[in-house]
Amino acid sequence: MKAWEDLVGTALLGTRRRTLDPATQPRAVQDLVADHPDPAGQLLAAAAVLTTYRRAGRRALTDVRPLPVAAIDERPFVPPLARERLARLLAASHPDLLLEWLGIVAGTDYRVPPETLPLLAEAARSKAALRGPLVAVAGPVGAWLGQRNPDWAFLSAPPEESGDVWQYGSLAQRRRWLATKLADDPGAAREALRGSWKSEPADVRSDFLGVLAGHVSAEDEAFLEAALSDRAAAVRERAADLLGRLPGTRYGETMADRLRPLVRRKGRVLEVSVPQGERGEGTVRLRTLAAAAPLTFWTEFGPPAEVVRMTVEGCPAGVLRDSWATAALRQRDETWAQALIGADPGGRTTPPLLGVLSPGSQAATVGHLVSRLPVESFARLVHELPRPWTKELGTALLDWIARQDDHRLVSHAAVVIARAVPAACLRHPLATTRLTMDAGPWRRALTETLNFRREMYEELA
Amino acid sequence: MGGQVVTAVPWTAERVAGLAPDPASEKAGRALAAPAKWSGAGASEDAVWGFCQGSGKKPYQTCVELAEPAFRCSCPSRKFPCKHALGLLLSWAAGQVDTGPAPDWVHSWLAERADRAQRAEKRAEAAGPKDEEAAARRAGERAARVEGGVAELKIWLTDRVGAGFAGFERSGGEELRTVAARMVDAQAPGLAGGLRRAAAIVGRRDWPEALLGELSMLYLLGDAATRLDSLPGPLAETVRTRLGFSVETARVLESGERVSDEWLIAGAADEENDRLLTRRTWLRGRRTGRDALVLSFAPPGRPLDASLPPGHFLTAELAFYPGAAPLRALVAERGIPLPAPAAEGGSISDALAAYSRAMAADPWLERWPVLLSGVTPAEHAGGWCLSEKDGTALPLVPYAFPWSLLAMSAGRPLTVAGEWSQSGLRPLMCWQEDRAVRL
Repeated sequence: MKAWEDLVGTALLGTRRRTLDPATQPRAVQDLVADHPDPAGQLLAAAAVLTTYRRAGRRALTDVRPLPVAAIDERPFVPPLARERLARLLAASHPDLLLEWLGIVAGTDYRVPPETLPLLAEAARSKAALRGPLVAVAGPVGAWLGQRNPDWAFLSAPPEESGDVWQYGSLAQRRRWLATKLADDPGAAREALRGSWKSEPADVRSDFLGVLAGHVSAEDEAFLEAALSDRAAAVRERAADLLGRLPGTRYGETMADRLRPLVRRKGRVLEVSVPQGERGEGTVRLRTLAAAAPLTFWTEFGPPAEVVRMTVEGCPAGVLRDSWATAALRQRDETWAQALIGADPGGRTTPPLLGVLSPGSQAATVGHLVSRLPVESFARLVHELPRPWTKELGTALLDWIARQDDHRLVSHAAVVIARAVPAACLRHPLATTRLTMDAGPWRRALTETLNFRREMYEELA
Repeated sequence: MGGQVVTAVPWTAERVAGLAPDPASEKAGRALAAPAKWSGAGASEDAVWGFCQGSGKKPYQTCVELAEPAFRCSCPSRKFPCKHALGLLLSWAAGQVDTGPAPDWVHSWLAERADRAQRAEKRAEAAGPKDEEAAARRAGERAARVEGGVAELKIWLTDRVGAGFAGFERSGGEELRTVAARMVDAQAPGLAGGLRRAAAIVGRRDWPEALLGELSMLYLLGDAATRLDSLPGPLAETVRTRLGFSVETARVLESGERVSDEWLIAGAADEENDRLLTRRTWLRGRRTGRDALVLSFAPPGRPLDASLPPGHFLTAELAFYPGAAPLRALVAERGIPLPAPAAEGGSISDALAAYSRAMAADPWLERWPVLLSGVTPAEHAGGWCLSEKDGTALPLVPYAFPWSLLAMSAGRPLTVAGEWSQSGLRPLMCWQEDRAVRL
């Protein structure tokens, strides 16, 4: 628009230096500004008219192309109370409770109202654990948003059945593909893993062994043995760990054979000679041997409960105990786990070893530990108990905490217990009995969290 | 409770959240919206009440009178409403508060409030007519000061344009703010506001033409101010309003144009300027098609008027402020807001045409309400817009967070209410099928 550009140009230079040429202005503007005495006033008056023209006459955009349309989501919205709870969860930023809530919804046929998706996607952007359940809950609208906003691309990940994922996917996609394939078609999964093994970087190799851990079988023996001589220490350790989970491997037998000349029993004493390592790493070597040998090797010297209590000579007793614990974890041997916990209930291997026990004996052992350990030690142990907890364990822990007085460590344990007990424990008397007015803040918080979680489940039932 | 008729419909949680003075209060309120936090909670037609255990020994006593609404809480918070009142209302909105007769302490508070209102009314009656002579003198003094300010501004403007904008990028912002301060002294806040807007433009990309636009409109306003007597009445009122003269509420209620309708509360926008919160609530009459703007002001931390929840219908009589394109109004008589699950909007070209007509009457108009049906969010030139089926579209303001709107649409058309201004459309509310969502 020539008239307007002329006004702007003149305003920049100033009317003292350049006079506005009235001829460039529309006829109506010329008439309107004619009675202004000075050139600056004329320019301002003309600019006011054109500005109003330009603002009032603003045209709409044309030929804007539409976005693709998301597939229709037929699922109903979560019920009103659950919707309210979602608003509370988003406002209070409790990522762990939000994760649980999304997990519940993902297991139902509900979806969340679309306007909550941007906040949920932002939460999942910074906390990756939320992504899986969110993708399920968000459905086609979520996938559609993921295609629009690169920050939320995880909402529209490509379908993972396609073989391309293994070749071109991100590490997370490849992990998921491998895990799914190991369950559905183990032969093809192993073939894919072996095929690309040599070209994967060390951290990826170690990562994939972690995925394999959940599916390891006798067929993997040769592959894992080869990995024992991997360039990367992390891969070697993982491979040894996985091999240790397989019963009757050649590797395990070899380790037992090497261990045999080093161990002797004399009465109540277990004599252990430290092997001569190539680089003087004797106890490291001993650890490897003892952790990898089948636990049946040690029963040659007595029943587990007896062996773990024997006096050790020739090497630090702790080295042996740690190695037994490692072996018990790898071989998921309940008798040994029980024996080791019994010998040293406050030890740092107790929490992981509890994870080896069956639900019933786990709860019983925890009940037993309560009476044997000082409150402080037990409260610390709660943090390290492997999850998920069974209903029995959760109930045992709630029974314990219900009896406790105010104590800093107890209140910390209460936070863990409140969040980690399974849904089946949420009707525990602790959550349903009315609190007295003088109840400590931690007890109040515990009851509130248990109730909050129970309501979460009830609202989505 | 036997046989009691429950007539008070609990509010939606969104409506309660809209009362929060700041996001922190809303968050704290949500954390208190659980039955476990409350004892002795109850609700009647007029009020909601309960006890909340705080950190101290004695629980806080919280009560909300629903009509206005008004809040009372024994907690020491200086925020209004406090988190306890918000938590209680959210709990009530979630259906977790039972209906029942109000206990004595609630009764006595409600009675006290009614009593105080009555006394205030009596005092106002007793005060009798104001000292009209003094008022006229003050008005005359103000008019003279504004006149002086206008004259000064016109001289400054012509001088500026005479010298040219070149070099303005360096010191122009400062210079404009200085002139704005002088306009504040001259009791012409409208002129000061325009100068501050101009100051914010300097240095922006394309600033010379935007600055010329802004300053020329100020010149036009100053020019009109010198000819107030010869302007048509409504236009003179508009010019006075734009200069910053306020119109007394009583005068609007007494002599303002009255329009009764069922009003859609189409959206609300909050803004903070100079330590003052402003809420613009836009209404559209279902029968008359009239647009109206209700303004509410509060210092930060104090509540803004919450009696007009967006997404609701309100049967009310509005009294419009005088002006050439009357938009601002007061609610003179009102009913109870009822949720409006659906809204009927118009087309983009209708909205632009209405905007042009309003601009023709009041060229200083900054924002115009639009209510569009059948529009879909789309991308355009690296930004977002709302597009009709044939590709006609209005751009969104660059600062709008478009994602809630996008999620609601998912590529399908919806109804959107928003504010149209030079910088684009600011969406405030949208409707998809039977769902209304505040953006």
